[in-house]
Amino acid sequence: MSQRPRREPDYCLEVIDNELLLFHPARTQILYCNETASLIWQLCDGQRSSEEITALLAAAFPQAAETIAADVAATLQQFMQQGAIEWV
Amino acid sequence: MSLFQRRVIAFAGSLVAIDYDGIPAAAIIDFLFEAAPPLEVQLDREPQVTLSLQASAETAELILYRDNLLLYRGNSPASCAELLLGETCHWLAFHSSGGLVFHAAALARQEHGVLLPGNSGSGKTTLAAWLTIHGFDYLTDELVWVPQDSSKLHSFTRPLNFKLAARSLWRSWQQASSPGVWSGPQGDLIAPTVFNSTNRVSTPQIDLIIFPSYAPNATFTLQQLPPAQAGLKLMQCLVNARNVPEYGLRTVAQLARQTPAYLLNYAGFEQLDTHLQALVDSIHEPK
Repeated sequence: MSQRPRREPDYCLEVIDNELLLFHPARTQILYCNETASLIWQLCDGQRSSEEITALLAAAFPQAAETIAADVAATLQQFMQQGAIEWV
Repeated sequence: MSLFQRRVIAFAGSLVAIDYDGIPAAAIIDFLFEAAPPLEVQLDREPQVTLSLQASAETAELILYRDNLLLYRGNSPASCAELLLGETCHWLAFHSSGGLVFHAAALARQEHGVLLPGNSGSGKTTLAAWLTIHGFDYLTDELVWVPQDSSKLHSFTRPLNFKLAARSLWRSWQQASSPGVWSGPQGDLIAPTVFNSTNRVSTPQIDLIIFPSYAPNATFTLQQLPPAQAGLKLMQCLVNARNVPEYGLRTVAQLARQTPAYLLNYAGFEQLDTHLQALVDSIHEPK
């Protein structure tokens, strides 16, 4: 069974024009998410695999279906590198 | 018998006291803090930090302490002044509260404020100097406080502090020996009236944000930022996140939503003369 990405819970979140700022108080770390990354972040609830996230976004944005898989993979990789998600 | 005088510096809810003795010490205090925010609060609480500055009558040596920690001992007023200024700014920011404190320069023209956030070496001071020469009132090149529920900027007004690498830039405008210029091995402290003889300090509304980035061979770019990216860069310049509600994120986001913000890459003043004037003039246009 595929692992599922889950948001690190201690981030404070602010939405600005469909983009996100995420601030982690303990790490004093600030992350910026463009519109695509913001959607992916909000889908990282520990319930969906990366494949399911990709399928959901491709269904919602068929015109971008060709690039969504790569966008999801790259964004999750960045989130993981920054400690913003864990795999459950 | 020596008589210590005390100067209390107040900014953004912080108090730093400087006990000083001797004419050379007094000259440093007067130069550094002549335009610092007035002390409007009753001193019913102790300063969070106390510094002491003495000038030896026998040796002309300057001695600077923070509690029992020796910070400086030597004969260079400029070096001592720069250290004292850095200490004061650090502790004012550290204990600040009641609003957001940014590592930023700030200027004003006709009640319109320009905020220049950026970390050390980003080119805030040189850009602030250029704007001052072009008719703006210099407010600060280091610390700005935006009180809770306000979008007015309150500045810690101090001499412009040019790093050594920027010396050749400002010396293209002013003689090195001008009154109001204190030069030392680390850089130069310059009174704002050197660049604008009628400089006036105020608390304007923030109408424009420019994030400067200076590099000697940079290609000039001036790019408007979307609000979220501006918010990111503002958070990176926020020095008191741990002292304010919700780490300041919500207030920073609000500021980013309501204020146009630009990223400026530049390598010299010729580029600013050509490209930046139209932008700064735009802050007077009706919104």
